[in-house]
Amino acid sequence: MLRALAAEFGGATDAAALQPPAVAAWFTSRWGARSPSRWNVALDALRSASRYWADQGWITEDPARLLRRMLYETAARSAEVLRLDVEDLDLPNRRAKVRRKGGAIDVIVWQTGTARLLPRLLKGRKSGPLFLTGRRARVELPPGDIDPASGRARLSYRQAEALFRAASGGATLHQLRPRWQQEHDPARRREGGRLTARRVIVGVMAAAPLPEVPEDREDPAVILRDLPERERDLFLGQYRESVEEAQDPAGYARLRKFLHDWSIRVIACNSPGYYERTDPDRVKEPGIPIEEVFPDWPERLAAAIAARA
Amino acid sequence: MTYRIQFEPPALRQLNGFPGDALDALVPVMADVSLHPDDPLRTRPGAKPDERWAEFGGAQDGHLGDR
Repeated sequence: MLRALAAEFGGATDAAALQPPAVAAWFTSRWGARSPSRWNVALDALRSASRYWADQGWITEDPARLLRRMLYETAARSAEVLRLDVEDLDLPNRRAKVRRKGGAIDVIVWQTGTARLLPRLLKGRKSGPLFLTGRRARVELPPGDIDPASGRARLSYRQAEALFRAASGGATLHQLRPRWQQEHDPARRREGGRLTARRVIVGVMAAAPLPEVPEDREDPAVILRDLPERERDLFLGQYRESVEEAQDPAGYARLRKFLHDWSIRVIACNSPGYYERTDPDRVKEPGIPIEEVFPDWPERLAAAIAARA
Repeated sequence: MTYRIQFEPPALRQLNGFPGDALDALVPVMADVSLHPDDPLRTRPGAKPDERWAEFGGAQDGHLGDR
């Protein structure tokens, strides 16, 4: 994979000069038509290489990625996080002091994802704003908003928003804002604006898209939809009987078993050759009585009945 | 109407090499079928009205015929 990458972009090219969209387009064109396993092997190799380049400081971590991860894990406001300086960070203890809206000092705490990404963004910087723009500042800014080493400026909310939009396909930073931040939230008023991280995280997660719930294969509507046409009347007839029986609480377990059995039957009926294998009319050879298969069938039957009783 | 159980050839083919434990597990299922041939939760109607059949572990395992 790396040989192919070097052949495409030049062996002497600086890793930092690689443009993610160009690499993505090249990768897709080269491996898009290959088998999934080949694709995954190549993708793993590319990921490992980019991790190594980031660890070496050859490429810079995408600030939008860290910002998103940090906002999610700390439940802080984006403005608070954008105001962070490198000196505010307590990297070993995964926390930082932030100035809340209104001026109060608070501590935010992050998890493994942020802890992993932070050193890649910092690349050894010991001071200055945490989130920086890509180039040197072109306008006069307060000294506290400029990285003295590189001359790059603190990332503004508007610039962060643009980066975030580009990285997330149009989502806004505002959409990450916890719902409790809304001024009318009664909980916020009750607790005087100080809420625990746990509450905030619940708010953030509520703003994220809900995960898809897997379809219930034992839902009678799903069974009916997936059954071959020829089975549907039989299913419906039996289903109505079972529902009728389930009016008695004892019948509920049987209804569940009925739906479970039919959900399996859906799979069986849709398997190739199912009707050829199971249609008794198509079976030319005679069957064999069970007594010939199990010579002790009467005893076994009696034992089975006794066991049920 | 009385029923007797017979194994159709597809079921017989699958029984060949069936583990002993699985055969033991099959017995109560077949007993259920023979005792409750009209129970739609245990058996399925065959192509003819006097036939019922059942599945065990996804395989057709037995066939009840009116004799």
